[in-house]
Amino acid sequence: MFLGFISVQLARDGKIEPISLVYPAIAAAIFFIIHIVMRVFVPKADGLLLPLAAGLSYVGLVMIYRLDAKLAVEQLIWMAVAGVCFVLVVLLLRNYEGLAQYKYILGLTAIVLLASTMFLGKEVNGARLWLQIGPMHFQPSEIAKILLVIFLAAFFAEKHELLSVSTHRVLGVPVPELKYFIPLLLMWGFSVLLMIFQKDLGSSLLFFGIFICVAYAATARKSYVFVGIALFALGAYLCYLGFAHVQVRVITWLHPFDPKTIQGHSYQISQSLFALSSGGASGTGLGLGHPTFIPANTTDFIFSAVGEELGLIGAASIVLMYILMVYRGIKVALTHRDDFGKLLAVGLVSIIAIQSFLIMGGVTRLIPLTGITLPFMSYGGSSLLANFILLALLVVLSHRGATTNAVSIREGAKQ
Amino acid sequence: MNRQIKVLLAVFIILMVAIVANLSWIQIFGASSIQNNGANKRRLVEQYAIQRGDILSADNQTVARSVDTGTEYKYQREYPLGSLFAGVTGYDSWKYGRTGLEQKYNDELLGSGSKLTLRSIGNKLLGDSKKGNSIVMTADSRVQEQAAKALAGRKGAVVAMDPKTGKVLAMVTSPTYDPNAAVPGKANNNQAQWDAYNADPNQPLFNRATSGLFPPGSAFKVVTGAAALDQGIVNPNTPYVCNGKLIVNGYAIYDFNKKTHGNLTFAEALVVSCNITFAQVGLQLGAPALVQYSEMFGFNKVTPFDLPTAVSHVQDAKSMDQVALASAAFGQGQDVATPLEMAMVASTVANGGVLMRPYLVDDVKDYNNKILSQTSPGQIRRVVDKQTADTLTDIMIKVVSDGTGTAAQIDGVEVAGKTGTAEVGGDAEPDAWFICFAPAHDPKVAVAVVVENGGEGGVTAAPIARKVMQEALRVGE
Repeated sequence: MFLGFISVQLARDGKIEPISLVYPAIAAAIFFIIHIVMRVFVPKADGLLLPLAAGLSYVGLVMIYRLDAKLAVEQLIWMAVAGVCFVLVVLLLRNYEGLAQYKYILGLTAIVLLASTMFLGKEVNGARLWLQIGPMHFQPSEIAKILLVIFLAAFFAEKHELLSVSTHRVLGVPVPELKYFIPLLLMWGFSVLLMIFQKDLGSSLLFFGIFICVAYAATARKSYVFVGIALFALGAYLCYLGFAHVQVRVITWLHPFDPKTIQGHSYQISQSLFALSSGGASGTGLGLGHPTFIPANTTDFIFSAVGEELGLIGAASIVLMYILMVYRGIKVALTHRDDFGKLLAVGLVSIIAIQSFLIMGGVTRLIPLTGITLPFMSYGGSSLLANFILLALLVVLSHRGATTNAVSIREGAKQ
Repeated sequence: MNRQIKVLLAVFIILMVAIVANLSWIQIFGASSIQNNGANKRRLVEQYAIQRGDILSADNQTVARSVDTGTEYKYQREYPLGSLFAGVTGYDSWKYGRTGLEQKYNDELLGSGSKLTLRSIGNKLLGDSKKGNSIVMTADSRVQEQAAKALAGRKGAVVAMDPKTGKVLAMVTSPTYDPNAAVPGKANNNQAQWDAYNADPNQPLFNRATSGLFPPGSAFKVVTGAAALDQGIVNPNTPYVCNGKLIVNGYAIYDFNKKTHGNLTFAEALVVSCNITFAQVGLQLGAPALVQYSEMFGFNKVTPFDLPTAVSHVQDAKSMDQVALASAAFGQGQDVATPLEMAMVASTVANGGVLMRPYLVDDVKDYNNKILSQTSPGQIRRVVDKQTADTLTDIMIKVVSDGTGTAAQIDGVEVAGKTGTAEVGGDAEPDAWFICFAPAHDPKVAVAVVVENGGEGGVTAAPIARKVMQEALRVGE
């Protein structure tokens, strides 16, 4: 990362300033402190999760610094705040089981947080995602997604056996009673409402995706997945018919280079593709490309900026880091013994996987573009905060998983 | 439960791998097609980050230079001489693209085609912004200015060449435009001016010198005469009779203004520009020979040149009947020629019958003024014998001393020339032509002038040609 800062400075100003060493030093210190806290309080935690998050955060910070040095300072401050939150979560929620008791309160809080933006929110770029508290902007959906995962994990941990039992058969296929689809329908309705009132495609998709993942893991019901996907398709189609901005997303996805819209609706996606294409295999080099042409280059489109200046090698490394993070997270879920912990881990991993897929797939035109941040990398306080809390929960879960396994192995040996 | 979790993991990994697969398409395999989209500013911004080389005239005047604008497109063009060389240099604009030498020599001006010298590597390491190479034109700003002044805004063109080398000394098209208007975002908003150029029915953006096709009229008699002399069909003293009217296949051909010249020699016929005589010469010569010589002079062929050119045209020999042949022989058939082509005709006669390749750019120099490449004159072909050229020269001297071209006389210098007054049909005034060279026996300059609807060549075009020759001879001393 030191290298990153220095090369950005060289390319931009032609000289090296001491400040370029301060940024990475502070960022490194933050992760070092987190690491120490982990060694002391959760020593059996997964050893790869934190380095992966640190790696992604570093690349994000370097890229933000390259694009807008002022934002990098803010990002660094937020990283420190997020680090404190991480430590607090590790210290206070080591007995995360307690969270399950508050599932309805947490779920409700999530809904209230999301609903708050519908009425009090500030509209930015056509989506109503932001709450303004004093001088600070806050994106409640970032925190809400974690609360929602806790709620879902607790809910399904309690009910999954009930939901898995098939009492009906439709055309010879075992299907649970209709009432067990109620949570699914509720969640679907909730996502659609989110979509309608906040115009937030990304979060809406993310929430629904998390729900399907947790529900499938808990119940093993393929019917959940199929009905879920069918509902998703229906919802997407209805939104497509009903909302111009959804139509725009689909049209620009299909025809990003249409000369009629290339300076208008499809400007973002086409600029992103130009950036990626000029990156080639090894990129233009930090500070030597033109990622400043991409709109929202520090937030939603940071992946395109990385693709331009670090090339396919850099971009694919980022994807690989997410794959590794998801893999380690899933491993936590697999080794965990109690259902709540398992499902919580699955839910948290789903957030990372789905969210990073939605935005990386979106800016590369694999899927229609939905505005959402890239975990750990995008500029933004609420996003960083939420992702560090998420990571802290995963770390706590991994520590617990490893500890209980160790205990049970020892007990098994005694017998 | 673990089975489902593993399924989820597999799904997540598949999704992520799909991203990488798609990325390799965008960044590697499909990259060039995406990159080349016109809405991608990257290439333009990178090109305009290079300090494009200057375009200099032969007398070392800066015709085009790049200045740091401090905007996104950093270095942009400035044309200190305004419209003077617009037809030659064209413009370089991030908004409208490139034309003229700016387009033809784009690689040189951007420095992308050049070898790196040790010094330029040194400068690069010291962090200089990339600089392009300069090009030095063969055209002289003083001759160019004189030609533009002489045309005085009338629709037309002037081309002046060094007949021995093919160097273009001046190339003026009129009306013309200010290339500074093609570079947007300077102090003033020049959009309106640019739009006006494009809407102007007189087409100021059109280069008449290289791409304007005009009936050559009697100036074409130089081609017919060269062919007939070279074939030995005529000599200067071959007698002809002009009754003011010639019936060919029942079709009457008249002389200009229905004059009657009576008994005259071939040489006298050229001096007074007798159509009836040249119609007879054409019929004697035959269509294949006339077309063959025309093509050797450059008709029906793409001229190898630094600017895009229109192809001057003579009718196909097979489709030419006797009437068409007789008319073509004095330049009133379906033949059309560019001013550049007619300058090449004059140059060929001046250069003892050898047509030289015309060119506009002499040197390419790097920013340390080191010459990277120099154009050497090239011969296109021998068109007629030296003997034929000399004989024709002697007759053309008489055209200026005693004939239709007296307005081109220069004190103390022998001038050879030929007028042209080309009927354009309807009630419109004829196009006025004059082609010439001087000094006749050691030519330094050959000139072609056309003035659209300018009237008689000897009256309108010859004085313009005289001024251009005078200036070219003056600066050449």
